[in-house]
Amino acid sequence: MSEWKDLTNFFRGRSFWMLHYCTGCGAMELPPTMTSRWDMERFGVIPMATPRQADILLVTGYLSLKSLKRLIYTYEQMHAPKWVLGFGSCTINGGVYWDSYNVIERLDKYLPVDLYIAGCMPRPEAILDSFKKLRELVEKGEAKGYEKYVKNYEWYKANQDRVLKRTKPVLQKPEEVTRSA
Amino acid sequence: MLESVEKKVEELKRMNLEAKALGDWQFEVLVPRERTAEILAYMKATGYKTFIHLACVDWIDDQEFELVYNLENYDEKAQALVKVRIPRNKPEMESMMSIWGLCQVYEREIHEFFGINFIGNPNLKPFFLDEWLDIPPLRKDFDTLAFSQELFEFKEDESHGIKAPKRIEYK
Repeated sequence: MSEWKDLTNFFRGRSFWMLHYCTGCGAMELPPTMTSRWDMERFGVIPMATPRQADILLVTGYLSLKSLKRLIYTYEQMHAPKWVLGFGSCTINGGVYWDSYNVIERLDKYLPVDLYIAGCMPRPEAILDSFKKLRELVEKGEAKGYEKYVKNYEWYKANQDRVLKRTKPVLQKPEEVTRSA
Repeated sequence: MLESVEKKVEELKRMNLEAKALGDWQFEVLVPRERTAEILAYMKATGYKTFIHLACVDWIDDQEFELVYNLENYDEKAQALVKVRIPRNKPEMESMMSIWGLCQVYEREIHEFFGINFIGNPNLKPFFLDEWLDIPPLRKDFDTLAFSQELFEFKEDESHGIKAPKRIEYK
């Protein structure tokens, strides 16, 4: 049975279908990655239009609260096994939007991220490198983000609801916080 | 400077308004709130037909909001900034929808981000923000850093080198 799993992982790692969903400015790096100069199809990665047929979800940059809601819908429509790649510093700690009122700071509070790519923005070489790294993880059976999501669904759901379904003001007394500096 | 801009500034000064040229093709005019509709209609009739943008500035030290009506004259290639100041504790303004119907969306946006009430605008429902319950976010007394740290649960972590970001003071 384990040989069969190894075999499926071998093939899964070589045929990632990437969901064509672009959130932030990092999507700018994908056209050169897809087209002739870097040509990610060499690694078996092709863009796919619908979430139900896709294997990997690239979160390309910052996520506002509105797009986070859509991203969660999209992620939950994808079939397991599925993997999430976080692009750039915005998905890691907010990046330049560190004090923004509607851009989330850490993506892995809301969705299980299998691999982060550092940089603002990562170059196409870094993206190809991350596909290679993800293939290694999948072959070893270490990229288990989707299982983590199912197991800890309540924790993820509570975090999502905290930012998306607010029932009371976040800053209780705005007058006291104002112009404290 | 464009001749037409120079002429227009002189004309507005004769109407007892503060006006000055800001460059070769741009000028500003400060208008009291009661005369806004009159002046905007006058500008529209004298070449500045296109309403481009409505902006708002929060002058918190003066306790005033400044609304900037940005108009363009495509025949002369000139721009006008019509500025109106309203008190911060009673943010109310007449809607300019009777002059440009386009004002509706801009006023709705300003209402959402600064909390200014536009009298006569039929639709001031929330526009961009989902489930917003705090004070309007672009007011200067709204602390975005505190909001962000509270909502997204920022935690300092020395072992991973995560420090609290420092606030930048602009002088």
